[in-house]
Amino acid sequence: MMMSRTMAAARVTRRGFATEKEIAMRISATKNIKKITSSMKMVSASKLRGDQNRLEISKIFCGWTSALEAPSTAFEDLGTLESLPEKKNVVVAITSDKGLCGGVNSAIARGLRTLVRKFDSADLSVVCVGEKGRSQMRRMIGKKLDTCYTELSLPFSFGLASAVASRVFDFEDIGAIHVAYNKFKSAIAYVPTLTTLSPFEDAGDNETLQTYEFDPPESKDAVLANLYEYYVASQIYYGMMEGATSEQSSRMQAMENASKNAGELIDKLTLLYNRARQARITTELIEIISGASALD
Amino acid sequence: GESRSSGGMWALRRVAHSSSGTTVRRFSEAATKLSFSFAAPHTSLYYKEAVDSVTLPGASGEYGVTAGHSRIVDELKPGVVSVVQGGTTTKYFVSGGFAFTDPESTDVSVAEAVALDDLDEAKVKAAYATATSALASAADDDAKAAAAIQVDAAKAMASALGVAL
Repeated sequence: MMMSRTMAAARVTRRGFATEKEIAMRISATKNIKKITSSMKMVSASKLRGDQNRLEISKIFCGWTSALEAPSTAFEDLGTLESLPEKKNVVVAITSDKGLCGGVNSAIARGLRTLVRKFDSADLSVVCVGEKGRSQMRRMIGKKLDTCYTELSLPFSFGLASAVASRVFDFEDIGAIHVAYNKFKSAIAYVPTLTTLSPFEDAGDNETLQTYEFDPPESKDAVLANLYEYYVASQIYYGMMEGATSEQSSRMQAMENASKNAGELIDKLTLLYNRARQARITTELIEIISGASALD
Repeated sequence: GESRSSGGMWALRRVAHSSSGTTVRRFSEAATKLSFSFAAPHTSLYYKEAVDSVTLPGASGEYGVTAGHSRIVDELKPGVVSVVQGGTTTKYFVSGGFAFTDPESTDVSVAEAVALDDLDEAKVKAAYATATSALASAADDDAKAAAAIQVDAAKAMASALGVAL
């Protein structure tokens, strides 16, 4: 019995169809993949809650910055941005180290490519956070890429945001600092966004700050400079929190789609397997019957 | 016609206020409270909560803030933020940060904030000892600066707790 099954299997292979064994192997491999993607989806779902909490707290932490009204443009509306400020423009791009998270990192890389192409005469430098963004941006806008932060421990901390901010402030003659991140809209939607942080040249320029006294009163310029650094670090941190939440929700969706596709593939392969099995059984029966009739 | 009817309605409102005494009291209580927000990147301690007063570790020294304070942007020094709410005082130790005050509200944003009760005296003394020796044996400017910051932080925590180093 074993011999005829093997011989029948060998005969089927020569005809170019997948054998039962091969299909069975594919089914079991796909089932394993589905188990992995399902569990990754559950892990992402629970991590998403933590990321959303951190995002909400970061919004309160940055509450004071809303009075400064930093303009935020969605990358898809980049056409409405007429020009970049004069002198040096530094863009901090927030991406992830880990993959399997859908289109979040490509969205940022493509957005920055559009920005660089649109304002090709501007003095632009990009500081990248996250390996996935780095690899894409190195290909797309390699010349403008200045520094990359990769292999970072999660979750992103204010300390990391401060380190990135202090690298940004190493540039001279800064005209504006921008943060590019994916803004979390809902579990199924995120918006790639660019927020522009202009320096407080002196309190006279910024209406809001003009109405305040400063402590220590004799060093108003120093306080403003420190406040701008704190402002940039806080906004980078906020961008990191938005980015992490968008990444996690996108990963959850990507894993959900992968599991669904794996399930559909398993169904199709099971049908194929059954057909192959029936074909083999039929062939064996025909052999037995014709063998028996030959003896007659 | 318009002004008379509005005047009449206004008169009615005044009568309503004086008859329900509790409304008047609540209104004047609300006027003296300060809307207080206080957050570090990882914790939000207060969000637009009504408090009686707050004491902040300002750049030029500690000062109290109540409703009606002048508008001020303060670069905070590491120290204690005391919040008085409904008779109770809660104290927090904060790292550097900024405080934005106007007549109705105060917004405090700092890099680190912990309840003062959560600071361990013994650990603060140990940290000070480690930091002072690190400062003495520091090889380069970076190490010296890092050690100096740790010394200052330990000193600030010790003074907040009221212990001698």
